[in-house]
Amino acid sequence: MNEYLYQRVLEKIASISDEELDRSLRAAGFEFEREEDVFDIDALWGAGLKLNFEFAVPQEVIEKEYDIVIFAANDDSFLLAA
Amino acid sequence: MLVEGYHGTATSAAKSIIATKFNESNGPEHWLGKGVYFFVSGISDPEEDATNWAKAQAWDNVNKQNRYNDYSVLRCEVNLSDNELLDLTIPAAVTRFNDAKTKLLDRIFSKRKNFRYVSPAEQSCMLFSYMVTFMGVHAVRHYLYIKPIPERVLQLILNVPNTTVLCVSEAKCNTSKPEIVKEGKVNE
Repeated sequence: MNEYLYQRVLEKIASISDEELDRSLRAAGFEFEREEDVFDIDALWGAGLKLNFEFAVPQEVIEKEYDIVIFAANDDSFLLAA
Repeated sequence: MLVEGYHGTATSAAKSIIATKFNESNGPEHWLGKGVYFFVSGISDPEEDATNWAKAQAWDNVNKQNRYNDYSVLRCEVNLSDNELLDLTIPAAVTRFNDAKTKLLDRIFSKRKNFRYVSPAEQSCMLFSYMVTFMGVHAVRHYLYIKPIPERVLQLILNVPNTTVLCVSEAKCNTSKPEIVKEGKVNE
C-alpha cells in the first residue's frame, strides 16, 4: 500500500456515511443480527450465576420465541434451540 | 508494471483459459478473497509452486481419487499500475494496511456488534475482498503458506509463508495471452 492509497483509504473511512458503509458490507456478504433478534448474553450469564450455574431459560426467551440462545460458561459453549 | 504470473491447473482447464479467459476463484475460504490467483516471483520458484499446486489440487479427498491426470502450468504477464496493487510483500505497506484495517474495523464495529459467525478462513476471505473493494485496488500481492503435498499427506501444518501469490480481480485481470510452459502427469 503506497502513501497515496493509504491517504485515500483513510479519507474514505472518515467520510463514508453509515448507510453507505452498511450497503457495502452487505454487498460483500457480511450479515449482522438485528438488535431485536439478539438476546443479551451478559444478562443470561448473570442469571446463570444467580442460579448457581443451573441455567434456566428466561421468560423473555420464551415470550419472544428466539430461535437459538447461546449459553456460555468458561471455556465451554452450549447451544439451546428455544 | 508487468508482473510475470504462473497458474497451475488441469490441462483441460488450461486450454479453456487460453481459449477464453481466466476465471476468478470465489470459494468462501480463499486466502486473499475473490480473484484470479497467480504464483509470482518472490520467496520461491513460481513455476514450481504452480506445478505443485496443480498436482495437489487434482486430489479429490472425498472420492479418494484424482479429478484429473494431466496438468499444465500457464505463464502470462499481468499488467498493473502502482495504485491498483496492494503489495503486502513490502513491510511499510503491511504497516499502513494494518493501520487502515484497524481504523476501518473500528468504524464498522462501533455500531455493529453482532456479526454473524463464519469460520476464521471465511472471515479472512470476506475481509480481504471487502478491503480490496473498499480501497479501490484490484490486486493483492502477498506471501502465503500453501500446504505442500508431503504436509498434506502427513496432515501437518508448518505455517511459514512458502510462496508469493498475486490475486487479481477478474474484471481487471489484464494479462498477456497465457501460454503453456509445462505439462505433465499428476502422479509423476
